[in-house]
Amino acid sequence: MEKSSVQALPQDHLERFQGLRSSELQTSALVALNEYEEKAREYQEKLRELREHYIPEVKSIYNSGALINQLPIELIIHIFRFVGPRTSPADAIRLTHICRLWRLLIHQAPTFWSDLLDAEDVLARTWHDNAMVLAAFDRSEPVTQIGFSMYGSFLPLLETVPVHASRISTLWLDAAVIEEQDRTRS
Amino acid sequence: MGDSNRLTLVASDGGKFVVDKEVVQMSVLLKNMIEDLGETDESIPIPNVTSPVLTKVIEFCENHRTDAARTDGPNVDGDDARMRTAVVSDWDRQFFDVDQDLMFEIIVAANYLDIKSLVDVGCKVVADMIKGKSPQEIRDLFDIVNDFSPEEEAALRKENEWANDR
Repeated sequence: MEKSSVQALPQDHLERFQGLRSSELQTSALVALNEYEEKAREYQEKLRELREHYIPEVKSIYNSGALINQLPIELIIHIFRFVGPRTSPADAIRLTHICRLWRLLIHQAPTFWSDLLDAEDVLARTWHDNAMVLAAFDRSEPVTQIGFSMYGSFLPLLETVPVHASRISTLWLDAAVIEEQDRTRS
Repeated sequence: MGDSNRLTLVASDGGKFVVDKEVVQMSVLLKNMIEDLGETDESIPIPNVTSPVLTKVIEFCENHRTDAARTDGPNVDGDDARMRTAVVSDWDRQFFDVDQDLMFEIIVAANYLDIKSLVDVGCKVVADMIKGKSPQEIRDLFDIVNDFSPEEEAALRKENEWANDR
């Protein structure tokens, strides 16, 4: 076998090809190729595991040492409710995008979601929000006496909200959408 | 003979604080304890709270003693009413202008001592620090890192419009 000018393979890897020619050389090379490809798949799987599981998990452990995360859970939720699911839904939803612990705690805090449904600010604004409103209804279980404010394009919600109707005590409707529809029609 | 209108609190590190009974009673925990003890000269140990934290807690209670009656009353409507009524004054903001360490210790102590007005003011101050900030700014504020996996990130992206646009 000719020695190439650029040689990446270590000497002991090359030894298996020593003295081989034509079909024997190619058979041997194919075996080696399969071995390397198998190894590449293993590394890729390991890399994926590191990226998707190990690294996030260690980051979660880091986060559990943050001062705010050492507070008792009810205090963390108390802070989150003050951030304002009622007054500022965008700030409130953003809290669920900070870290895993916050997302988990908020998803498990029914009052946070009943606050969100009773937001003073625009809530069900577009079709896009529909999913969030329904998620809020699910996550606010078992809270009853919910005040629910529907603004904007709320009509699609009228098909899905009735499932939760028994938990609503006050329903606010904003008819602004009708003006919008009139405008598009004319 | 002790002054019947004053009580001695002892912090976890042994620090002693002589405080007006009226001020001490802003803590529901201590108020109940005093009622159980009856008239006594004995000092009250606060095993979970250090002197620096207790100093701050007493400072707050002394400043807020006049509104004690309001915050101390029966908590009929619970959390919901607290959410709507908690007010943070300029004095409160100054009061909480301390290290995060101390700030959270004060909130935890207030929670333990059951001083609702201090818990609410503290939590609202922290909430105000969070409001209007981007996710990364919030993480930096509390020394938190983004620990979502690539897969989880994709799920968050669907909610992004909700959290950012307005």
